[in-house]
Amino acid sequence: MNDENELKLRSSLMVSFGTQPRSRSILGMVGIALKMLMGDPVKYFGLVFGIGFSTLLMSQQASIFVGLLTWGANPVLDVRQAQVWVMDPRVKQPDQGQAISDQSLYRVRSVDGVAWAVPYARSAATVKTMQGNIAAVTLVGVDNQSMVGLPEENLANSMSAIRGRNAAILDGNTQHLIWADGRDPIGQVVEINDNRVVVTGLTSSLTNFSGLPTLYMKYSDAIAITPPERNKLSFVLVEPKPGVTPEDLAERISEVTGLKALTRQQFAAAGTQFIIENTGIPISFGAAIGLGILVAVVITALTLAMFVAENLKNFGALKAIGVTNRQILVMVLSQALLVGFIGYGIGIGGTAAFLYFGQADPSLRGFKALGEIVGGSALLVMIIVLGSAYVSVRKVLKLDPAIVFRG
Amino acid sequence: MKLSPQLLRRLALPIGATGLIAFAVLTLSPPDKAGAAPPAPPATAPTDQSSVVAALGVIEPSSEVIDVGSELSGVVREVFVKPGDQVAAGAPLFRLDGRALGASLEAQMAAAQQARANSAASASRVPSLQANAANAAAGIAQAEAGVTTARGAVTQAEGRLANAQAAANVARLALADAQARLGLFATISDPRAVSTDERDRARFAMERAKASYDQARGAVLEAEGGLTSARGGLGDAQARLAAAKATSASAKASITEGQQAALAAQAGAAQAAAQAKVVATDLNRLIVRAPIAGQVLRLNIRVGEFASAGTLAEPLVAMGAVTPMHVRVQIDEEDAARIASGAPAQASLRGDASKRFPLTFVRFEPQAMPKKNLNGGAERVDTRVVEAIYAFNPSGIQAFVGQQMDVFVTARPIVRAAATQKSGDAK
Repeated sequence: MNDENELKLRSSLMVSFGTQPRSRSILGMVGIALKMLMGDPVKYFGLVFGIGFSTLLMSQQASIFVGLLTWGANPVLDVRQAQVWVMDPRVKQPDQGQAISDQSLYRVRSVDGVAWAVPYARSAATVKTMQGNIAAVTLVGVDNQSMVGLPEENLANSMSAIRGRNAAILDGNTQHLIWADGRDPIGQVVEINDNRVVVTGLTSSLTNFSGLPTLYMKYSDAIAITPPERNKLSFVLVEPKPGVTPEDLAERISEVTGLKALTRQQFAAAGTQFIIENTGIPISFGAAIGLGILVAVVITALTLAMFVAENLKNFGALKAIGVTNRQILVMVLSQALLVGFIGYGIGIGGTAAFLYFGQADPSLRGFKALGEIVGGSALLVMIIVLGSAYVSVRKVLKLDPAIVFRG
Repeated sequence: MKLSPQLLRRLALPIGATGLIAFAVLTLSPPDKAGAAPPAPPATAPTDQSSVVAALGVIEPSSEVIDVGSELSGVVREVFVKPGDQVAAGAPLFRLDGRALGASLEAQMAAAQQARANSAASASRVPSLQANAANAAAGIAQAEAGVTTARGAVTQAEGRLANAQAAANVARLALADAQARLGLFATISDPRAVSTDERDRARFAMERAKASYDQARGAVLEAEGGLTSARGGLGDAQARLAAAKATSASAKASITEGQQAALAAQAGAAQAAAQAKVVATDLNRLIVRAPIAGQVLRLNIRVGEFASAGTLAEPLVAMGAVTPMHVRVQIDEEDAARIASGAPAQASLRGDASKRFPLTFVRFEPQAMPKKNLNGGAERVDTRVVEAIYAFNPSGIQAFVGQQMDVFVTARPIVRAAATQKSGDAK
């Protein structure tokens, strides 16, 4: 900070004090504080970009982390029509194949409070294309009649495209994993377990943890083309009657049938929980997010402390002319909030841009910009800057105004 | 406040940050959309029933599906029905080729006629044999009369012999007397003691007596001869009787024989007639008829195809009574206890869950079965199901035999286990 600047600052300080009435003096003080801040571009930009970078790190990593966790829940969240999932008691997450007897469907339907229940099969399969490629897919069998479980978005063909014999609707977001050459999958003939399957439509399903393309077929077709097993029914999807809560119904179904019944939210949470418990994702992402927070704290606190220390003389002058500690606190906090706001804006904007433009890339499509992360990182940044500001300003508050005159 | 370039420069970052935050907020991902309606309505439990048992139902005819079989194998010459036809009981369904059997029937009928003629001929021979037997019996009587006559002649001859012997004895005595007198005269040596005349007379008397005696002896011999001849006559007559008897026996035997031949011929005729009837029945069996009144559900046989007798994987003709229709409802054994006999039910056809119609209870199948009507694909389950039969009137409903239905049977509510018991289990 050069002397000319300092001089200007001081004179403006005097001016605003002398002329502004009391009510506007706080605003004047804030204005002076902000001028003080912007007058020192190195620290100003240092603070802004330090906070911006750490916000970016935190929010982007948190988004990816939450996104990855949601991948475990997405097979459940993809089914929007049913509130309760019924499965084998040993099943912990949606991609775990432990089929139940087909008779379970009728047992579940017979439970009081069930409006409807439909079968849902989920299994792994290998697709062979006519071009000679082999790709692993998740094969989903949805109820022939109601098609519950088939995502309705972005259907390149009507839902009834699934009704044909051995017709399949493919998740259009992952079609490149089967046909890398970008051809239109509709009308393509593939082979699954020596059965001819025709892709007749495209849908958009949420990204799942396995990352495999999802192929939707009629339940009867899906279980007919998979290798013989004792049971093939993976889940029963249930909708409660009006007036019955999903939680009550799930409990009742478990009690009556001996199967595990979870509400959609419970099962989605179980899918997430499975990833948390069984992968290194929480640790790696937790470390990244923690580093983001650490960077934010360190940079903000150090820079702010440095800034306050350098302006100690100015603050002393202010105190000498009768500026109270409270007013100084407001000044420093406003400085901190401004850099916090700008830094947060840059960081969160970067994350938003990353997620928004990343949607074009299929591998980034599964990550979501969540309000919780936007709000949470705002809160975190606010706490960090306010905390740093408070720590830095303590020296000013204890400052003896006479220091100015001691030169 | 003036907007100086300096101020603008200072405001650039905060404004830019505001814009970026606005961008971040605006590009937030849409929240999870739960509670969407299914693309098409699934089979939904009736809202007016608090407790139901849901089950898979399969439509079948009220008579169940009858796989009509053929009793004989052969090539089909004529098919009288089309799939979907309503037929009366006994109506012909199809006819097998009958030329060989027809020819065989004619041959059998000819054989039967011949056998009948043989039988008539054999029967007509019996009366003449009976007449012969009667003649033979008359011969016996005649021979017996001859024997009696011969016996009479023997008795007469014996009487005559006795008379002759008696006369011979008299004559012998008279001779002996005459000889004695003559002897007396002979002993007198003096010829004069006795006149010659006297002597001669005595001689002559002796001669006469001798002649009488001889005559009497001749008569005895003659009588003896008569007796012998009479005895011979008797023997003859007896031999004739025996011969007559033998003839009669043989005539009688030939009657039996004739009668037996007639019976055999009759039996042969009956057999030939029966054989002709067998062929005629077979000829009739070539026409396969509807066992009950009902609808032809499937026709797997066409003119010119070979129809095999016996159980076939694909029945030649499947039919059944379709009014009313029945639904075979498979109820999980665990849920079966909740259903009362006669419980009403509602059902919807697969593919159209929006239309639901009522079912009326018919009966339970008395035997629980392993689940075999599968929900689709190669399902393998170890569940047993109790089958309940429900009926519905198919008019106005496009329902096909074999179609699956989602059935909701009104049931007793599920009794939840007591809380105390549950907590006990948890420990």
